[in-house]
Parts: sequence; structure tokens; C-alpha cells
Amino acid sequence: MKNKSETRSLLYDFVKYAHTQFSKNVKIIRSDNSSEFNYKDFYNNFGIIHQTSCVETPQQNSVVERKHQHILNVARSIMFHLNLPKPFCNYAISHGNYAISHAVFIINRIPSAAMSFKIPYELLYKRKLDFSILKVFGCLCFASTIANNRNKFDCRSRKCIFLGFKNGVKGYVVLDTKSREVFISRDVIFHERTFIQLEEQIGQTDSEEDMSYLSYENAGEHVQQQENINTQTKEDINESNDVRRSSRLRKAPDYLKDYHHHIHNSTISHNDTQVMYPISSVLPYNSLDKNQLCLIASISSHSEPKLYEEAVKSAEWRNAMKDEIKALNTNETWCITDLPPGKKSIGCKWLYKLKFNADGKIERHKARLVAKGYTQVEGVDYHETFSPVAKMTTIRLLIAVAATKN
Amino acid sequence: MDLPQGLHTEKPNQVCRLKKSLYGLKQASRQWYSKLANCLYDVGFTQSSSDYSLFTRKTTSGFMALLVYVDDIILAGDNAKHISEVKVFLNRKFKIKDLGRLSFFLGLEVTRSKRGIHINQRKYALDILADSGMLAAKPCSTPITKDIKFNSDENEPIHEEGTYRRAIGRLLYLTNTRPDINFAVQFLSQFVQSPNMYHHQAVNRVLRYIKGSPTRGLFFPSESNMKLNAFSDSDWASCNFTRRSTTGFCVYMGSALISWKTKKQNIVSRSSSEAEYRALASIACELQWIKTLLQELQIETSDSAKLFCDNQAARHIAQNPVFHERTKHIKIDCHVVKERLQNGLFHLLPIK
Repeated sequence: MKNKSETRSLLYDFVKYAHTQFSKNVKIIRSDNSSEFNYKDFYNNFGIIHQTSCVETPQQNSVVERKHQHILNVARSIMFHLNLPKPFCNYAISHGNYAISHAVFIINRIPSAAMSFKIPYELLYKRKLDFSILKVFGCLCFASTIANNRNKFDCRSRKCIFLGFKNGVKGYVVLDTKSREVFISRDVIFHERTFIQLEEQIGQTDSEEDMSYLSYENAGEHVQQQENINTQTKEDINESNDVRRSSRLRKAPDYLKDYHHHIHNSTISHNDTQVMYPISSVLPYNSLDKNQLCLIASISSHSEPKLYEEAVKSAEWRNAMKDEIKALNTNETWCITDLPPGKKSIGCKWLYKLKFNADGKIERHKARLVAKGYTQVEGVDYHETFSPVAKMTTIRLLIAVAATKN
Repeated sequence: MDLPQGLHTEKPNQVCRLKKSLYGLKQASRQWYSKLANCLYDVGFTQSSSDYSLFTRKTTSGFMALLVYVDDIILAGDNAKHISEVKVFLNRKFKIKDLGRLSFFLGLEVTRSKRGIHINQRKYALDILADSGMLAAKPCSTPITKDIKFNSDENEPIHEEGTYRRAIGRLLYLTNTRPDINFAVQFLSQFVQSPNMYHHQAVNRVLRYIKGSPTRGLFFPSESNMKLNAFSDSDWASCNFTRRSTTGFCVYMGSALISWKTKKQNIVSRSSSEAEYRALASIACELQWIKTLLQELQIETSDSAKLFCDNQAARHIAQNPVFHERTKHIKIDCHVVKERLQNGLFHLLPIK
């Protein structure tokens, strides 16, 4: 917003916007007594109640005033972080507009104490935030040059400063350090720890033309909606303006699906970088040969269903269960009869097991029907149960002998 | 038996009348075993008397051993043709699945190279860690510390006995390839009845130790001889409550560790020599068993095993038929050492 006279059109846009995006109607607008909010016909047209504070009593407009303070505090600290030298203070002012919009962007993405530490963005849009898009404001970045406009020996990228995001465009707003041009690019490499100064430049360009996208937050600051989207709505409204990230589940490309790229990831959580003593540091896999690695990867990564309800969803396990029933039928394991009176039947359940070849391929899905033998009573249902199992020492001895004899 | 899930009949409330045994029944394992054993007898296998799950067959053209763990079978032999014959036979009878060279058996992961065979329980160790939530724990270099307060009277017993017992049970199976945690697990398993906080912390320490080396296991070198070396030791009156001593021994074949044990003795010993002598008695029994097992595997062990013991008095008691004031209460069952020594089962040697 350049002039106060734009207020009316911005207000109109906002009311329409809230209606279209969230099917919410603005019911009350509270403002101070400034004349730019005095549009009686407009409010009547939409049926909005206009509340004003008393003269010289900003306390009555506290929600907006407090939010204003918050946004400016954040924006100021962003600016201080940049540490711009004095000669560039006119740039600082134009930076400031970006800083304010970025401050709003950040505020909407951090947990708010007023909303019991929920994130405003997630509350409004009911979807998880992707924090990976967040970058440090004003950091050094390199934006790719446009392929059509360059020849073989032109620069492949431009040295830029990151200035935030633009509504409705999937890209980053960056400021070229040399030409002072503000533009949007998708292909940007960030160096978030590095902050550089603008280079000296002849002829200044005015970056004002890009300020139009700031429109909503300026309007929003003076608008308070009540009841419909609660108090947080105001700052959330800006949100829809930011770049919508695809909510598609990210996964490895299809051609990689037959491989295990990270062997230790299959058994442990993915964020090892935050763990002080990641388990991967004590698992030396690189000395193994390929076959052994395959086996280890597959026995670690495949999981078996525990319940019938889980297994019945997949075709492999259904077939496995069919096969097992068929095998039991051909063996004539049982015949189906009525339960004799006064007797209880033994329960049974399905167990699911993956069988692997020595090279780690899944050999087959095995479903096994087991009886719940623990309900049996000795003497009634069975008499002798002893059956020998191998002693571990014997196993070790056999392997030791085999090792020596080979 | 109830109808299995997913199987439907026309009439409700019907059940399956079992004509044959099924997995999970109490008698299932016995039924299976007797069937398998009978089949193996038919093709000329004999059951070993030292381990009933070991079946051997010796013919003029070769020797074969077959080890059964319920329905997992290891086959070993010196004649590849015979091995495949037996596989075909078993396949005809039971529809077995040949998994090729031994690589994964009862949770043991077997890796081979030219230098030998390595077995470990990596997956099992990681599972224990994952289930106990210790995957990200800080590893420590020893499984147990010497100065733990284990006075069970002072501390309130914890209420999660189940977790403690489960952890001990799983660790016990892990000792199959991990003699290094054997003592710690043996020690902690004495408290499964009413564990307190200190015991719990000690178990966590063992888990953290495992975290530091989940792939550690046993290595069986291929360049090794078949001679048995055994080491015996004992402490004296280490148990604070009962003043009993702890036996420890390990048996090597060549340079491969095959058997070990840590056990609290069941009688109080009046002297350290007596405790060592008891340890000798238990290792003598173990050696006797391993020797018969080796004979059944057709391995010639003509020369006696070497048994090393660091206690001179215990060696003297075993070697010389003296009857002494301080040894007269030692039970007769311990003098198995004397008898085996005279039979030439082992030589008793000092540790230098």
C-alpha cells in the first residue's frame, strides 16, 4: 500500500478473499477513528459492523496494536541481523518492506503461545508445514540465469540476496547484488551462513515495483475479524499468499525402488543427524561383500504383518493364506463338525513370516495357521510334549568344525 | 479348534476337528520330531546320544551330520553328492526349502570368508535395542561395573518386573554369540524375582554396551586345529547374600571358542581352592560331553585336552590322592575331576 486512499479497495479485496478462500464472512471490523476506515456505504453493503475506539484511546484497539508491535519487532531484528552499513539506508528501507513481509511469514510459522503453542499456519490450513523451505532472510544465494538468454560462456548464476517469497509463485524473491534487480527464481542455491553487502553501483533502480505483493498484510493489520476465524485469522490471511508447496508425499524415484540406498535407515529413524550417538556409527557394513549386504538389507527392512486384518489387505498374504488352507486340506488335518456339547474349542490365529533366500531376495510370503496351544489342559488334551532342540554349543561346534574342514 | 479367520462355512458355530497336529498345539513339536526322527532313521541316520537333535550317518563314501532345531535343519558333510541326496529325500517327504549355504539360522547371522566363519546376532541385538528404546543411547565400553549397590533390602522393588524379565530373557539368548556379556547377564538374572532400580540401571548399561558393538560375535578361523583347550576359573564367595562362589570356564577348539559358562555354585565353599575345584568339576563334565560329541562327528581326538587352572591347590587336590583335613567335606561328586584326569580325558596345566 502506497497511499492511504488504497485502503478501501484493499479492504474490499480482503473481505472477498476471506469469503472465497475460507467461506467465512467478515462480521465486525474494528479500527481507530482514522478517516481511511470511514466507509459507511461499504460496511452497509456487506452487512459488516464497524467498531471504533474512542478518541486517543489505542488501548481499545489492542489486538491490532499488539500485533503491529510484534511484526515490527521481528522485522527490525531481521534487519539488524543483516547489518547493513549507513550508505545503503535507502536500500534498508526498501529491504524493510521485504523484512516486514518475511516477518509475517515467519510469525505465522512458529508456535504461538496464545494458541496453546500451535502453529497458526497449520491451524488455518489444516495441513502440516514443510519447514525445509524456510531460509535465512538476507543470506547470500545464487540464482540460476535463464537458459535462453545466456550463451556458452555467460555466468550460470547471479549473486543474490534472499528477500522472501512471493504470493502464488513457487520461487524465491531475490535481489541481485550487482544490478539491484529484484526478481523471482526457482533455481536458487542458498548459503545461509553468509551475508554480503551490496556492491557499489552506478544508476540506482527502484525496487518499489515489487512492493505490490505486500498489500495484504498492510490491510490486514487494521482489520480484525471476530468470531468467525478468531483472532489469528488476520495474520493467517497472508498465508494463502505464500507459495503453495505440493503436499504430495516425497519419495525416492521409481527406478530406485528395487534398491536399498541407506541400509541403516531401514532399521532406525531417519534423523540421525540430531542424535548424538547414532546407531549407524557402530554398524560397519562397508566391509561386507555384496551378497551378504543384500541379505542383511532385506532381513532388516521388510516387515511382517502382525494381525489378520493387516495381512488381508495385501494380495501376497492372501495368497499365502489360501495356500496354507489348501495344504491343510490336502493333508486332511481337520474336518469341520459341530462342537460337542460341554466342550471348548481351542483358538487359532494366523502368523505371517517372510522367507528369504541366501542372497536376500524374498523367497516367499508364508502364512501359518497356529492353534493357541496355551489353552490346552495337560492330561485332557495332551500327554507328552517333550521334544529335543539343539544345544547352542552343538551348533557352534558344528560351525567350528565346518570352518576347519573347509 | 475355532475356524481360522477368513474361512467361512454355511452353518454358524462350527469348529474344526483336528485329525492331525497343528502348529501351536502343545504336542505339535513332539509329533513333528517323532515323524522327522523316524524318517531319518529310515535313511540310515543315527541319533547322537550326546545331543538328541544331532543325527549322523557314516558310510564308506563320506560322513554327514544333520542338526535339527524343531523345523530348521543344518546339514553338513564331506560329500556334496550325499548332501543333495538327503535334501531331495527330505524334500520328497516334507517339502523342505533349501536355503543354500548357511547364512541365517535361529537369529544367528553367519558370514564366511576364506579366513573362516563369523557368526553374530546383529539383527537380534538391534531388535532388543529398538524395543527397549535404547537405539540412540550413549554406548559404554563395559557391560557391568564392579561397584554396583545390589542390596535388595534397601531399595524399593520396581513395578516393571515384566520389562526387566523380558530384557534378561532376550539378553540370555544374545549370549549365544556374546560371551562378553555372559557374566553380566548371569549376574543380573539372579534378580528377576524382585528387581529394583539399580538392577534396572545395570540392565540398561548392558544394553548400552551392546549398542556400542551390535555386530560383535564369534569367529571360527579356518586355519585351526581340533585340539581342545579349556580354561577354568572361579572367584570366592562373591555373592553378598549367600557367600557362594561363581564358576567360570571356556572351551576352545583350536582357536575357536565353542563353549563357555558362568554360574553361581550351588554350595558354599570354605576356601578358594575348593571353589576352584568345583569349577574344575563342572568343566570336566563339559569336556567329557564335547569329547563324545566330537567322536560322533567322527573327529579323532586321540590326545587329551588341555585344562588350564590357575589355582595350585586345586590342581594338587585333583592330581594327588591325598585326603586332607580341609578337603574332607568336599562331596564325592566333585571328585569326577580326579577320575577323568586318571582316565586321561585332560591334562591339568597351570596358567603361565
